Amino acid sequence: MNVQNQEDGFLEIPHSADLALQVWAASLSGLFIQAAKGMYCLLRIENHEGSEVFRKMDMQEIDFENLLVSFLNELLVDLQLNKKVYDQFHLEINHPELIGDLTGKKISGVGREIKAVTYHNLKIAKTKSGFQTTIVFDI
Amino acid sequence: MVRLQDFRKISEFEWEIPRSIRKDMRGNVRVFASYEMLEKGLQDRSFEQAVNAATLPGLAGNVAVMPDVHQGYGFPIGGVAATLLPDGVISPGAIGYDINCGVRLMASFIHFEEAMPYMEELTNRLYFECPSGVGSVSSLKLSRSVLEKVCHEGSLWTLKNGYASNEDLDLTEDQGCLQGADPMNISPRALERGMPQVGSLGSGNHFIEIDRVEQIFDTAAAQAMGLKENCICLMLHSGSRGLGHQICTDYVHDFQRVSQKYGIQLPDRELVCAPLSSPEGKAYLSAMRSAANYAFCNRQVLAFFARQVFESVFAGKIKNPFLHLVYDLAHNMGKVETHLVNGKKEKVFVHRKGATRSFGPEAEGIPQRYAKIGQPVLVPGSMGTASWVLVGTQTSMQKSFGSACHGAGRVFSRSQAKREIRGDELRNRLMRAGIYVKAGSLSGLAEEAPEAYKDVDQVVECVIGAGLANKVARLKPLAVIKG
Repeated sequence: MNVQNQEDGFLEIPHSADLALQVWAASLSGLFIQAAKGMYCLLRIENHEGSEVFRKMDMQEIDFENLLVSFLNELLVDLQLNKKVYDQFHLEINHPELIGDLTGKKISGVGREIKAVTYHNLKIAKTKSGFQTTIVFDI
Repeated sequence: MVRLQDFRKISEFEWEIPRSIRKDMRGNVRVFASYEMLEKGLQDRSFEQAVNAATLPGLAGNVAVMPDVHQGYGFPIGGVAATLLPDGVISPGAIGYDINCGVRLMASFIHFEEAMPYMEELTNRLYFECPSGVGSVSSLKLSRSVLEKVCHEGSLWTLKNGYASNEDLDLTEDQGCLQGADPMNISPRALERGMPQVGSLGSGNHFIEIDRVEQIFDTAAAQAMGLKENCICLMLHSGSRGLGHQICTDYVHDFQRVSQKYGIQLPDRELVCAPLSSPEGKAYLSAMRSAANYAFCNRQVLAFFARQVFESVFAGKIKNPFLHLVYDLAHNMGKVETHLVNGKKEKVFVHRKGATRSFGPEAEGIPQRYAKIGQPVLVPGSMGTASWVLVGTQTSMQKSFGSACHGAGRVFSRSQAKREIRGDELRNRLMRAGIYVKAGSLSGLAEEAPEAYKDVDQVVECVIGAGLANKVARLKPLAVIKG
């Protein structure tokens, strides 16, 4: 599993039945972006060379954790229904709202199915260098 | 963190985590396992999740934990928790994202030696005709209005449309239709995801397996089920696909606010819940029932495709290639049932996640054919090992809200499985053992390797030892189809 760089990144961590991802970043928007990239990595994206796609997002939730789950679930459903994957993210996150401009590609398929992003023990923690969280995905 | 010393031994196969270990517990946790299985359960956070489940408001009696338990998200896989009606809670996360994920067993009177020359063809045809894999879609294309009928009627829709017989419905849990389903409480997105998938297997641990009835332990029960030694049968494992996943996602999201509204404090927000008597609780219940009906319908359509394959492959070669239904049951489900709670008959809402019903003889709601023996309990093992057919008991009604295990249960993670096992090597190993394998993804196959699971025979011994079920037959795999 990819570890991006020391400041922002993600790492798959063991889980008995499902999948879990540890994510960290210097900023909250960076954390959301790394979580998205990590989820795509778990999904094993196939053929990233389709036509270019764009998406605008505007989401409001009761807290950052809800915002993160909703953001990832939106990406998941967009992938499952429309085969769209994004690799460029411009996110503005101001509690409890996310405004985003996303650019990506149509893909041919994925190598693994994720049923849902869960809230299991989800906590976005503030660290010395930024933010960190662990996300469990139901597969 | 739950430690070994927190358990009180009740008997060789029964252990208790008393509610005194944590202030927020509303009942004890009762674990049905041998000492060895208990130690395996302590390797992950399964028991901590069971303790968390014991904090659900309105909890009735104990939380029951099966020997195939493993860590899930919020609620352990292999857990059973009941809440008292009318004000106990309903928790979507305690049922799971794959609502009415379940298993169907169909049997034949084809001797395995007669079938073996055609096994490769049979495997390939099943793989082709029963769509499997990531995002698999069915050859059935349903309109939204038909999909809503499926959600209302479940297996009844398949009967009306030529995919099922009356006998199929009789031998499906709840006759394949939960009353009280209301697709009005399902989001348009969930319906959109569900529309192309009726009659598709999916991926992950979903499978179709052709087995040989290797050994019969209870002749009368096997006879009632139409299981004959050395004959082949077909087991399939699937659920409510994208429709169920989206319904659970929607309600776990909405219940984050709802739990706050009702002042419910929980140790894990994945357990969010609402009182069953509340408008939100009722809405989720009717949506969950819709997904359950969809899943019954999905497995029935897959069964129809499988029967067509058997008839086509064995045409002119085998006299009677018919696959008769033994039983179809759910292992991720919530049900209103009547059970003894503290010696008193009470209406409760039973959450079973990775656990099946195991109703005993004469219990309400089991097929007439099985009234004297108890309901069939289907326990698929890991790929290439064995699967079991058991029957429910009266004891399970007293100890576990009429529940038993649902499979072997994982012991190590998918990433560990992939590190240690190569998909191509596993496929070759299974082929050398005489098991045909057809899989959409070799890495997916590696994740489901037998080594990643507990020994299903040991799991079954625990369930039998605890009195939750009795043995009927052991099945040995001949072919596996995975998405």
